[in-house]
Amino acid sequence: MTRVLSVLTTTLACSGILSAATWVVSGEEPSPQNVRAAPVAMEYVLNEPPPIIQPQFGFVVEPCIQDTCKFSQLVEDWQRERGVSSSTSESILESSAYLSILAMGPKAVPLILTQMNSEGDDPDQWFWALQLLTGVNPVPEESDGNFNEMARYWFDWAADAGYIW
Amino acid sequence: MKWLVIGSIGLPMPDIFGRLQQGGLPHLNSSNSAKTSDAKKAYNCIAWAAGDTFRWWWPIRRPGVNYWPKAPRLETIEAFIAAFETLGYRKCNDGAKEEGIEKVVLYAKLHRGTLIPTHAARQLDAGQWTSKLGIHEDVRHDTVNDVAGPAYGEPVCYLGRPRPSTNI
Repeated sequence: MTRVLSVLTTTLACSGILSAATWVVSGEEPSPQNVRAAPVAMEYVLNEPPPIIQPQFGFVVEPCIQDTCKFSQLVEDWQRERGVSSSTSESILESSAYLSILAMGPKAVPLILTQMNSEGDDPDQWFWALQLLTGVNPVPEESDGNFNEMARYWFDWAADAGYIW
Repeated sequence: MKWLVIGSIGLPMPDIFGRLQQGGLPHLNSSNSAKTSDAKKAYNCIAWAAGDTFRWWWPIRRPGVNYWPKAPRLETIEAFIAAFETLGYRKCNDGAKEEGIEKVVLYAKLHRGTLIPTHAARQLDAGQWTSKLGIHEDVRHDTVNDVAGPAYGEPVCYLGRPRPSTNI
């Protein structure tokens, strides 16, 4: 019984038969309803492999908390490093923080989109990073330099590509 | 030191000039300059000098990053002069106030032995200058030297054109 309980509590959380596990763990008086449920649950656990949740691959990359924290720190560092510079070369290519964001690879893309979304109608210069990390440039030439328009093109592209932010 | 009271805790008010001085503009202070806008990332000093508040101007060759007019996409003084020439500016001798002439000054600093453009400021009607400081505020300053220093280097070139009827 102990083994069954252990298996139940570690594997049933996602299986949809949590009510049976609750009955077993709580030790409440069996009712006609849960007397039927208990053997089904145990049989399921002992005789069948636990349900497998398929990870979703593709463009959608879920950032973990550690990446989110690292990214937030790098954004803060970047703001400090660039100072009053107007030079894109200086504030991006010579910024170790911006380069570190690039070094995070494709998992930085949804983080950048989230950050850019949070910046509302005053988006920052994320377009170089987005280009390098995705390999595309959805911005038409006539919108170059207009960050609000550029951000809209990137959000449209990212939504079509399946990114979630 | 000014103080802002938040609840029962007194905190020093953010000092824009202290921040800018630490950021490489040591001559800028409240006696020679004044903040004229809130911080905005949409445009930079070159755009502001050119009268554009919707785009970030820099001669980046990669498309989809910054705007640059029909001029060489190079980080050289000559390329920046060519960019302002597309707006009708021509080189002139100095930043002295001239009636009916709008002037722009270009700044540069030595980087690995080469003079690299860093900043531009535009002269106002009254002879003062206006600068957009990176992603930060616009400021009005009395002289071109007020924003010289480690961040922008020194003024290296002046351009002028007939002053348009309206100024931003």
